[in-house]
Amino acid sequence: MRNKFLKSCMIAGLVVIISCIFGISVSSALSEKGVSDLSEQYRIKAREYEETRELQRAITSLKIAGDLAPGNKEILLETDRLVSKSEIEAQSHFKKGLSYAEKNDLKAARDEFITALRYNPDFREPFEHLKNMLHPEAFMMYPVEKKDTLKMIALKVYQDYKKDFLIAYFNDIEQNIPLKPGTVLKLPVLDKILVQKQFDAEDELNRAKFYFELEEYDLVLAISKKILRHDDSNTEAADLVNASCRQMGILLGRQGRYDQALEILNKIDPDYPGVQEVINKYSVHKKVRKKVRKKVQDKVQSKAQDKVQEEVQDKLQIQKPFNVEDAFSSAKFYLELEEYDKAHDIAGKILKYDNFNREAKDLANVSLYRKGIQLSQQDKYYQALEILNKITEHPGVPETIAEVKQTMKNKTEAHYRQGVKYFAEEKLEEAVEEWEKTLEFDPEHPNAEKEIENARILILYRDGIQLSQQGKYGQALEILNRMTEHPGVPETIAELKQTMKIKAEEHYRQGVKYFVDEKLEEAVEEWEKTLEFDPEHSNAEKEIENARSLIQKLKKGNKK
Amino acid sequence: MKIHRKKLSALLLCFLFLILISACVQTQKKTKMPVVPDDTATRIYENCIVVRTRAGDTFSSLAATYLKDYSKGWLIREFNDMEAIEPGKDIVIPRKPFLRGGLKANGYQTVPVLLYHKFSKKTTSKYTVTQAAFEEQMKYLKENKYRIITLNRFLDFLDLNAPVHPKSVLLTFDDGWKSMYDIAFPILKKYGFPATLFVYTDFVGKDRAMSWDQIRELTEYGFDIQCHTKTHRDLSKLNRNESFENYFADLEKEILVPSHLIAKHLNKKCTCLAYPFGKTNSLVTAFLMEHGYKAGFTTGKGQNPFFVNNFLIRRAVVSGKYSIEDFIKNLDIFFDERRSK
Repeated sequence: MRNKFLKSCMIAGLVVIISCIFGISVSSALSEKGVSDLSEQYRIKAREYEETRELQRAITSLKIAGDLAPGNKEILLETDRLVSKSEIEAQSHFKKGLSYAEKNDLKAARDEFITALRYNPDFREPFEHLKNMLHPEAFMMYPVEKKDTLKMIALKVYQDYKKDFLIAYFNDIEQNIPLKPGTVLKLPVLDKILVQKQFDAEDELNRAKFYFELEEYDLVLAISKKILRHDDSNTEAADLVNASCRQMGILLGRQGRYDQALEILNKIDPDYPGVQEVINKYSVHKKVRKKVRKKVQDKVQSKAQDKVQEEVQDKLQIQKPFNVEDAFSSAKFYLELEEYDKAHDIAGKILKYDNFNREAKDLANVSLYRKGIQLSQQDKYYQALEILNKITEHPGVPETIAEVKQTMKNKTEAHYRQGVKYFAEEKLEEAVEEWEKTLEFDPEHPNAEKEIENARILILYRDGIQLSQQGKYGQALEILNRMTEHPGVPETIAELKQTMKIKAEEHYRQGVKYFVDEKLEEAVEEWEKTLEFDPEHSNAEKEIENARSLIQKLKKGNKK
Repeated sequence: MKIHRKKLSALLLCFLFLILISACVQTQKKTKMPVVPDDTATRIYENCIVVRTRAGDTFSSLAATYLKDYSKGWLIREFNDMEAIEPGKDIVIPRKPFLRGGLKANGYQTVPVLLYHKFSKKTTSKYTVTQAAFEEQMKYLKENKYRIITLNRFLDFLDLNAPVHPKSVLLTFDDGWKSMYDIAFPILKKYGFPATLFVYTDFVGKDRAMSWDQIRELTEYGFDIQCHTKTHRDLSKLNRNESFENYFADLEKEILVPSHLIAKHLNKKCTCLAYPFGKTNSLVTAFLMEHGYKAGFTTGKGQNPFFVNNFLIRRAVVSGKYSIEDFIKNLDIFFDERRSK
């Protein structure tokens, strides 16, 4: 009986042990099966979402599937693939959006930006563009130029110098402090309804005077005539009309456009001081030119005959004695024809013959003077100054030199300012061109050279970034490595290298996938791309070698 | 003796059976996935939480427990694509946002913003809604499962920070009429709806307006109070014979004074402005941005997708003349891109 009892205990004990073991495997099999089923469900959902182009839901589902089946390489690869796909699609649609926006097709741009966010809602750039670019901006940025004051900026931007307080307010500065050129000010954009104001003659007069200082005579005329329409007895406005017309007439006269000059000058009030002298001067010039042209025609004919005779005489080797009167007459002739070099040469020859010939000296100076003016009218200010400085005695030379220098300065600053405008609009090449012109007018300009260098660096940087965006990472790095001492560039290079590493890994993983699927050629191709992005990749080279040797073996195997 | 031994064997078998049961339970415990210590049916992962539901669980209760926000229950329902919870099933709660901006393959979500002014027991006008009509409208929203969201949620939606319920609506009330407190507030409380009140501070405490105490009561209940200027002047243009300098000085006053008063009385910072008459201009926008405001509300009709200009948010004025059908027409919650092509 006792043995039976012991046997029962042993059997019961065995039953317990076996049941526990069975229990463990059943329960763990059950819990593992449940998790695995759930993981598979989410994988299926991910595929469905991908088919309906809801990539974000697909990625979320895959990540959950991955959580539920940790270490599952296939899910990891799928997730990476989908994440990569969504980023690429988002970038592509963003770029399309930018392109449409540039062409002002805002609806198409909006649709592309929305699609980009559909693929990647963390992508801030299309979001910022949707929010900002497709709606009117509240602010514009203004780079301060030389001699800018708040009043001048307000006049330029708002056509109202009294709105200078607004600029001070939004930039938290005092109204009367001097502005530093290059500072960027934030200006609120004003709707037309706030800019248009009731007619204020004094305001308009001040605006017209402001433009007169800037030599914008067309604008001065327009504003002054507007004032006179409101009040035809406004003498200041009438004066401005006359003064502008006079200046415009003089400018045209200097360019030799006597007909247009006289047309404008004849509109001026005849009693306006100085206008009659200018009209007389250009009338004379006009007549002289007509005569000279007729003379030239005659002279050309007779010169042709003379030339023939000269050639004959040369052939007969008859030497002509130097005739001062004839030479003088030729020099004057060339002066009329505006051939100042030739006139000067002849005057020089006369002086060699007769050092004390006063008329020849005067002629030489006149030729140089007119040559200097001609060069300045052609914008060749340096050459003009060079010539004018040679003149020994001639009335008006110091004033002309001063005028040329002032014009040079104005042109220099105009090109410099234009360069700054282009720079602010990110038209870097155009900015460089303008600053190069600045240096042509003033090689000693304090800022132009520095700005050119700065802009060229930015161009390089921009080109580097563009190349990297086009996927041409090697070329991008080559460019950026030339400018590592500049702020921001080392970080950009680091980012680029990181991107290249990521790309390298993507290709590597794709290669692995191909390898697993026994697509060896494709695997090698992917690993070669890996090395393009990361030549030091620890495994790619080894894998290529391995795959190639497998390919060889297979080929040999097939032959047999 | 025989009987005694039989009893002993039976007792032994029972004892062994008990050991078997407890051993299996112990074994089960050892092979479980990572768990929340108090809840053996929950597993936390990087991107989700998997919960084995129990009787009495609701989407809101799960959201309150695992997402610390009961109002996110809709997210769990949406994600699992289920209408109701079945106890004993595994449910997956996403830990990271999805569906931001309500972006779907065929279009995107829009959030209607409704605007009310005055209320009355019986009289109607363009800006006065009767108590009965308002009750009918709120009941419609409740029964048709619209979700009334707060201003902060709406701003998060506009910034693409977090999704909102697909049928979200924002309720706003302008000026600070006393009738809003007397008539609309009790109805809103009844349905548990939040609201945003835009007050113009010169009106507060006047004859037909709420007092600061009443407005405080609304904020304590959970309503949001924001700025609607000082005097309710039209900010978009100069008054007759007003100089630009005076206009700008006035603009400062109209926005900064109410801000200051609301902070003083309610201890609250204004971040949004409802433009009087719904009108604005670029300088007003610049001014608001300069002073840290996040949004401006107009009375322009139209939809509000997430990418609407924050300073040109559209609101539908709910007229006292509206039938329920008219009211429903203002509840566009989705823009189907396929229809627009």
